[in-house]
Amino acid sequence: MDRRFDIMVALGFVALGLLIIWQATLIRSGMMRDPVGPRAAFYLCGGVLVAGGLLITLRHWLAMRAGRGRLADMEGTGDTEGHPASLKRPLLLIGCCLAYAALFQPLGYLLATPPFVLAALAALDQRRWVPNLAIALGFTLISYAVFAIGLGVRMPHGPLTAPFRALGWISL
Amino acid sequence: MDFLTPLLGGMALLGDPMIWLAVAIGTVFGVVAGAMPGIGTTLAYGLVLPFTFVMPPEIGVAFLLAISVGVGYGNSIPAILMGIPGNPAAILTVIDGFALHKRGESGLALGISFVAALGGQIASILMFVLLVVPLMGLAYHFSFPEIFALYSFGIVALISLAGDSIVKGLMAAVLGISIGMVGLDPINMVTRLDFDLRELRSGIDQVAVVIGLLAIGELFRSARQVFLWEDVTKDSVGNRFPAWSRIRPAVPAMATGTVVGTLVGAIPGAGATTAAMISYQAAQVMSKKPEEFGHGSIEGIGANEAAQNASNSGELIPTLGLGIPVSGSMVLLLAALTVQGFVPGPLMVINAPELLFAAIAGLLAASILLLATGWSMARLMLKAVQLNRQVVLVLSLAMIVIGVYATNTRVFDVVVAMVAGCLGYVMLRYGYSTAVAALGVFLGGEFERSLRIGLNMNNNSFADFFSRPITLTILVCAIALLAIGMRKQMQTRHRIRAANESAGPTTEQNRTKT
Repeated sequence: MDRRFDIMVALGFVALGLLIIWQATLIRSGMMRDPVGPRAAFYLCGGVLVAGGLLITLRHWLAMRAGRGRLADMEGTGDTEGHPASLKRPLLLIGCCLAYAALFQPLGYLLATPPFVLAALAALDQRRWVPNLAIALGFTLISYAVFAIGLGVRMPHGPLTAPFRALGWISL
Repeated sequence: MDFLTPLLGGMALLGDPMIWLAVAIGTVFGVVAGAMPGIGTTLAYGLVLPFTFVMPPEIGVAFLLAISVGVGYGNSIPAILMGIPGNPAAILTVIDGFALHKRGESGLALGISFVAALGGQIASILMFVLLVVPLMGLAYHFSFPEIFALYSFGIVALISLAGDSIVKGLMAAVLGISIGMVGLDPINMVTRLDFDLRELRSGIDQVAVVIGLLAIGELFRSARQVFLWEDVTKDSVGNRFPAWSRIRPAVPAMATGTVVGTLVGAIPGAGATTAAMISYQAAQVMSKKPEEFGHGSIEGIGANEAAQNASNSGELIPTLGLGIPVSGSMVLLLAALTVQGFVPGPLMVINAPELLFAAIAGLLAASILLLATGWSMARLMLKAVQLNRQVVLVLSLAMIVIGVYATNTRVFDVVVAMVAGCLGYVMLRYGYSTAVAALGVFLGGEFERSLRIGLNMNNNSFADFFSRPITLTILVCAIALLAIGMRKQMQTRHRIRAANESAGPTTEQNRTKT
């Protein structure tokens, strides 16, 4: 584990802690009074995040100053040995997921899901387009049948809402 | 409630064909998920959680626990036949099981694993009932201060025992608690940390955050590497079930594994992996052939497999007995029950004993089904390992998205789950326990509420609140556990430092690998 990345994550938690403390100052007191109040727990949690993040940063900084190098023992979950790992893939996958979440409502489930599955498979180096398309369409249709028809979940239909309503497939 | 009532209640539920159907689906799904490396119980729960929302609660509980039983058995198959641990708890099975497989004794290894998994599971159900009933009796003495102390204990125990770094564990816990407290203040009903978003005024959806942290985070982490499971080795199973005379020497080790697994499984944060490690060591100490451990010992496989499966029942003791989920999968189990309207806490099972009966029915029925079909399933499950890993990852992600959306039919929850998934990925990579954070999310609101309402009930006096006997005892235990955890962490640090100093330059290479 690279100490510099661990420091960056720790500083991210410090920023989050400061955000929580700042937001807690904006909480209204309310009518009822109690010894803890509505803000105290957030101050405490934010404080722990700030203090913990600074402690981790200080520990790494002291270790690097003492000449122990930039690399430290892994504290998190490592990769499977023997296979190259890349940060690019999870980042691409996260991008696909966020785009999917953004398009879920306007495009509807049936139109948003196949491009998401195709893009996510491509992000994971699966570039055989015909089987990928079959997987994407197959999954979308089966999951739609299970959730929308079988379990009665109201799925978003996007531009398909009007034609589906005209066909009597959806009532709302 | 006496000891026989839960057992009889569980058996009575077995008369319901819907329970059997749910358990059969859950068991097969669990075995398939367990056979696929990287998909443990928590991720398997995350995938199917939305389906439980439309089931009656008792069928949902039985379904989820059947999955645990299936995963416990399923992960031994790739461990023995391919040398791939389905999850960390199966690592010791790889050492001895794969050694036996390479010697041409796959049938013996699979047979021992089969008997140990089932024996451990069934025996641990009895231990679960024996331990959960007295715990439930305590619940009548629990008011808000005691519940606050109990939640403190659960979170502290998980921080102390689950991770390598207490500081990071604490940070994960407070992050989770902060998320859990967003929304309405429990006393004044003013909104808190809602960032002027209408969707946040009544709080962040716990299920979306917990699934994001535990399941989506793990899927993002798995996406770092691209490989096929079947690339590792391509062997097949062609052996018969071993004779009883060959299994018998491993029975004492299986019994040890069952007892250790149930007890260790009940400790927050310990889980199946710790249970397997401890029982493996205990079995080695008690063995007449300790030199065989690590080189194809049937006692090693027996102890390990029995402990893993027994820990399923062990985890249920505090989860159902006190309302404290002790692992990621138990957080999801309680999340499913929360969606159904149950309030986690010491009174949950007293008010709804059918949940306890359903847990017993689920564990028992899954064990019976595995007894009948588990051996033939082992051969079929080799096909599961041949599935394309990348396709499984992407479809799991898509499945989770639709599941999260289906919970409240809100796209906002999908966004929350994705953000929590990104956070979970970073936390997993850098040693901030996502299980602790998920527990914090789940207990955070109740944690603060029980403190503040408890104080109100005790004349707003901290002295009165903390001096109640049960509250004080539990909090002293929590502090002691924190001290033990800190001591353990310092010892580990010293050991690593000493090892690094003696290893010299090679250590840098090892660190680079990680």
